Amino acid sequence: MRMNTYPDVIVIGAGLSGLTAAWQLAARGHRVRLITKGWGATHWHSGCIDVLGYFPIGNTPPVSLPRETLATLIANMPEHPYALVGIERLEAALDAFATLCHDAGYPLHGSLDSQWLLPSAVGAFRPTCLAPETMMAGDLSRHDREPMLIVGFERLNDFYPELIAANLIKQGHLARGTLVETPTLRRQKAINTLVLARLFEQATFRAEFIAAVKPKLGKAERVGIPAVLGFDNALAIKAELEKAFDRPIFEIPTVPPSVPGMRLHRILTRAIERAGGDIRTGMQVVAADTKGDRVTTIWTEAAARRVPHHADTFVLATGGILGGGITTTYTGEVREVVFGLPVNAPTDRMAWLYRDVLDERGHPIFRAGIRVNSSFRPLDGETPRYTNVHVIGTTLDGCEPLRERSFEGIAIATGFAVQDALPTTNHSTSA
Amino acid sequence: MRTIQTEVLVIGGGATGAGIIRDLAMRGFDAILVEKRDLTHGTTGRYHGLLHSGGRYAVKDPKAAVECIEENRILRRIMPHCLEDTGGFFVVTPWDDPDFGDTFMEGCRNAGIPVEEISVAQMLREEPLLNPKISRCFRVPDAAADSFLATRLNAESARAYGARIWTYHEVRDLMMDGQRVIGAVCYDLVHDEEVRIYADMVVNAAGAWAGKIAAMAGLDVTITPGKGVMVAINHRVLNTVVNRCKMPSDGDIIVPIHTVAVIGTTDVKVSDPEHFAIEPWEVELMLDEGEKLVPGVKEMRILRAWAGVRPLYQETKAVDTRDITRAYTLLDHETRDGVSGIITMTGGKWTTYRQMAQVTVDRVCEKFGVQRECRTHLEPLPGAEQHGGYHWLGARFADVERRQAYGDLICECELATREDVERAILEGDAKAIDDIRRMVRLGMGPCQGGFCTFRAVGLLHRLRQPDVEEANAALRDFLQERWKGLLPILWGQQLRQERLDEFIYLSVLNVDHLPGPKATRLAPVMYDPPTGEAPQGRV
Amino acid sequence: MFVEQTLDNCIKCNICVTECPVAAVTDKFPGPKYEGPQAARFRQPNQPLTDWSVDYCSGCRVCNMVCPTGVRIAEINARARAEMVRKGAFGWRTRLRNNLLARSELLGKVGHPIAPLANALLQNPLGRLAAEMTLGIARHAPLPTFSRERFTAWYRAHQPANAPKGKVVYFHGCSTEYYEPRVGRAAVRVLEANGFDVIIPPQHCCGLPLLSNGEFDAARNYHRRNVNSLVEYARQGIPIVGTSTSCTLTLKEEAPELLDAFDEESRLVAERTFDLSEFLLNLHTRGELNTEFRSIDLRAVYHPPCQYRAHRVGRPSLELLRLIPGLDIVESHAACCGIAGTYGFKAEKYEIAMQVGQPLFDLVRATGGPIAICDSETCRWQITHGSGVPSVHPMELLALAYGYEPEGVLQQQTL
Repeated sequence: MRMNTYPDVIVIGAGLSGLTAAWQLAARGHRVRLITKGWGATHWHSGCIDVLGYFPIGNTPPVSLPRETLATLIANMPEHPYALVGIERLEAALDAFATLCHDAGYPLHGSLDSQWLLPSAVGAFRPTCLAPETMMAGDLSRHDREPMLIVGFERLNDFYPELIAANLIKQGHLARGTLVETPTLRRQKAINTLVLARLFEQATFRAEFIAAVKPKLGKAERVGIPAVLGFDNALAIKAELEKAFDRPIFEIPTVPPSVPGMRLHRILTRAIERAGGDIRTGMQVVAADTKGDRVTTIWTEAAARRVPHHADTFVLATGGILGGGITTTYTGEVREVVFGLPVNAPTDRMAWLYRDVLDERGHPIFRAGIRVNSSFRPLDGETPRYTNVHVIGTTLDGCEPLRERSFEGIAIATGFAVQDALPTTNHSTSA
Repeated sequence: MRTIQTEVLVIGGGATGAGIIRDLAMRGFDAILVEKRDLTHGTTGRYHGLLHSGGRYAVKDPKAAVECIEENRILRRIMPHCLEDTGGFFVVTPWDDPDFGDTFMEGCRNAGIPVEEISVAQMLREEPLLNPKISRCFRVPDAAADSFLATRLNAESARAYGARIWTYHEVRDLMMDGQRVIGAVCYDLVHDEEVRIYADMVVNAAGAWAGKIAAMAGLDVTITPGKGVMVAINHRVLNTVVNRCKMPSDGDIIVPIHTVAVIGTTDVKVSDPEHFAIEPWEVELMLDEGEKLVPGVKEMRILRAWAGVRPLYQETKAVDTRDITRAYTLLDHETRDGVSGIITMTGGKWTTYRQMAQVTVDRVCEKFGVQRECRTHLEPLPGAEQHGGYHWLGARFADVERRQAYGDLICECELATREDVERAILEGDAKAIDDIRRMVRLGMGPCQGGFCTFRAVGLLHRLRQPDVEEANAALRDFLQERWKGLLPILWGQQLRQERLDEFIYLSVLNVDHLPGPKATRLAPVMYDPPTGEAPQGRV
Repeated sequence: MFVEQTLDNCIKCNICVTECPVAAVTDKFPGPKYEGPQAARFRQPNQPLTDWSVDYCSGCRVCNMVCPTGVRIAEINARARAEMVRKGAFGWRTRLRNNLLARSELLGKVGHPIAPLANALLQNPLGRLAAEMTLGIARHAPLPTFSRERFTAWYRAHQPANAPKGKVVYFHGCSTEYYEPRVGRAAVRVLEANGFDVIIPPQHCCGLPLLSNGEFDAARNYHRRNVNSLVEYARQGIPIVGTSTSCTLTLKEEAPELLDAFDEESRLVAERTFDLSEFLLNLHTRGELNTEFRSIDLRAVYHPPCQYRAHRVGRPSLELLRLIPGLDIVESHAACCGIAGTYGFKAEKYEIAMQVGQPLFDLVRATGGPIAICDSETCRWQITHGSGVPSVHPMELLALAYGYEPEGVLQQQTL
């Protein structure tokens, strides 16, 4: 392991895009320092890689052939991050990411040529492109002859199997929900997805779980459970349960904290560290020094002082309004917090939101983002504000990642593709 | 269609109506209360939660001040568990006339309101975030009141005495027999059904809507709905009610109520109690004025905004609504208009609801030719004895810790447990998630339903087993209900919170693609301007 | 801004909960979100007390480090605990125990003169059992032993070297003074090897153990006295360095923030205070560090203590150690060793602390080095206790690399 006292690249932000960028850049020989205030969207998201779920956004059927629809999107929205990256590099990014996960023993499956429809924790069909192997058996394009069994846990507040089953039935599937409890769980003061994930790593608990579920299996052809099959050995745990149940089992992602999201987080942070990257948490960037069209130094808040960090290149991956990279005030100001980059957003606060919370168009303020050129350099008018700053992820303008269900896709694609814009390194490469 | 006969029909499920039905039931009347939505859905559920000491009216409206302090003492006795004994300050800021303090003291003394001047240093020890430039501070027995709970307990008490309380029953018309009102035609929103209620006497306690009800009997009752906008700060920046020491005006009070501090209010005449917007200038005014009391408040996280309509009644035409008396009015339409079978109680304020009920039921007794004494000032509301004292902010927290129920929180922000929510569904007869909210404060904290809405729906579905499309729509209804009060104040960290909530409901749960209607009949009434008026400030 | 006001930043996202090492091993602690920003909305002055669960927060600050919105969770908890102490929530026995553990200076002053007796008592299984039963001090917890010589006694007799680079104030802390003077000696030598004149003004316990036991009044007293003693140096621009990451964090931030000590003098002292590795790495950045290290052929785990991470200056010790030729450092990514100051010494928390530290102990054992390295004294004791591997401060290795004679456990190594 190397240490980067003097990084050549600083990535700011540890959401999915920042982690992806840090991993890729470190793997390609850059001396990378990842600076972040804290963890981010990895701990919230489904653990799947949504590339494009709905297009055009709104109450439309889910995208079934992402590659084709992406081509339409790129043709119609030249400022969309996918248009900047292009399908080829997007696919390369997904491949690289899938390979990383595969090598970590946690394979993801899927491609741009098909879309998974997987049940959500309320029983909606979630369109997604890459799904972890632990979720694949939930594929709703397949129809069972017997009701699938959705298993929840007594006192787990974040999972209601009856509701999931009822919604699946309403949408044409056979499903049944049930709750289980085990002696260990009865002793727990609190049961949440983290507690369950830790318990599933223990063989004794798995045995209890198997004993509790087996009598309820009936003729169910597959079994869905909340995504809590441990952190590091989910595949082995899944295999053990499948063997005991003699039928496929699948995880259903839950609301934050997301265990499958944390798995990806662990895979990425380990990859970064293995490649010599240096991750620093608890560090909020509070100022930046610039010289002409270059940023020379960023300053982070520390106990009783500010700490400088110098680098040749800065990758801004602070997330949009969700990540905290863009903030807003009651006066209607919309600000990029690190470099004060121009943000493309409605200037009138009254134009930020629609009257209906689920308005199909998506609220205008949530599209607030940084306009960039093809090398992800932030634009001021039509020229880059800084030549050594690159902006990636959902900080970018031209998209609505939540309505499009493109959140992870944009993060990984831009986090991957930003390397194309950086000067090649003369450090040793070991990808 | 259903048809029912009763002695007295009370229209309106706010504090007044609930107070009246309790008083009626305690005096042995057979009575029904109908409310078009849930209890406290109107003005009662949308005020800042102040139990007046009377200090606010000590100078301007001595009659109202006396009523307030009298009722203040009674309510502290009969419903301590609905009150938090925060105490109140009246403070002279650099923007106020320093001499008003003496006038204020005198007014309080005349009205019988205990008042003492304390040093600014003492004030700052108790409330360190108050503006250090405040020059004088007076202490009065203001308090914070849980109007949801108090109203529900009035209803519960009434039920125990045999009354029937029907929520989501909208009065569509009054039935007449000549010049006599004989009942009301109601519409049951939940069952989509008409209900005819025949009554010997109808009590119109519809607050700001009282004019609309009266009109159904051809009566002219002019109610000027006075809109008041309030904003809640994310946490208790103050633990004492703080009023500006001056003639009452906009944004001059901050009330600590449960986990938030509420800045109130504006006062704007509106044409329709049902349709009014929260204007950006109103929110900004609250923040500007709040800043004078607590410097820095503008930069703090604002949780939510809401608006209620005061039912201000005056026989003569009104100009500035704040000059209309707060004291209540009982209209006997038999003597006033020659229409019998109906009386209207309107005006007033939450603090005096019980007295208003007493006066109303006294008149009902008169009409029925019976003499039955009021006992509502003597008999505590349900639960008061077991509770044994005032509510306090940490009570819920202490309760969760005592039961070690950390893992059972459905609403983590407001500490509503699974047991609380299940009880609200099963025993509280909640029709919508919003009804659960009013009972257990579900979704009223910082995340505004982000983490608890789908949990509550999951429980509702588990316990009631409705058609799942109804459950889905109930979920969307509640998201929209929370959105309603967020729209005016979304910036900074609260906007970020909403984006996380969107992340959960769209990206993780995909609720916008769940089967079922977008909304139900019980969906919230948004803060929209009256139809025809241009929507202000919305795209 | 009061630390409680940072609760407004919380978006309830649960990231703190995912990383809390205490909540991961026990359900006695409901978790940082619950106890911190959530409970803070329900805590109010002059109100009855709530329960003790917040006392199970170890104060490791992992939550602060991963929170994406900047909530000062650990500090909110520390202040809640202090409020409980103020209101008398803890019985006299617990208070006595906590004060015994937290008054490191007093303990040293009393114990050191009778070191052999005190050590015998402290290590005697029967005495320890009695201490657990009567006071609640965990009988297996890794209590240190008093050294024969106090650090300052050595320093007074010490002949300073030539000092062309000017002066540095050394804040040695209680553990160096009474238990591990070798760490202080190493620090002085390392500073002298870099041309500094080391000044050691009168000083007291930094107050952190008291702060983390909710004994704020006593902590305030110590902090005030330290500020008085140090502020003149700070005014002259003389850096104040320390080898205990807890002491330096307290001077920098914890004491001013938790005690609302927003005065100018506290600020000046905080501004001029550095952890010694931080200070040396800053020298290195400017090209002024003496890098004439001799090789140390050794493989060892370095664990950055939670208290050090909370400085938010990266991992300077790790970077310095990696300058030493031959030294093969395995970086620990473990969340916490578990001890968290005085936490793991308490009978009711000992098992929790051991479970929290388990992944670190496993790493140390698996690495198999003769030593482990850590900047914080109580963490070192805990690592040694949990893994059986002796632990040293990074400065001890730096001193060795500068050619000074090895001391303590390093002496026994064939390096």
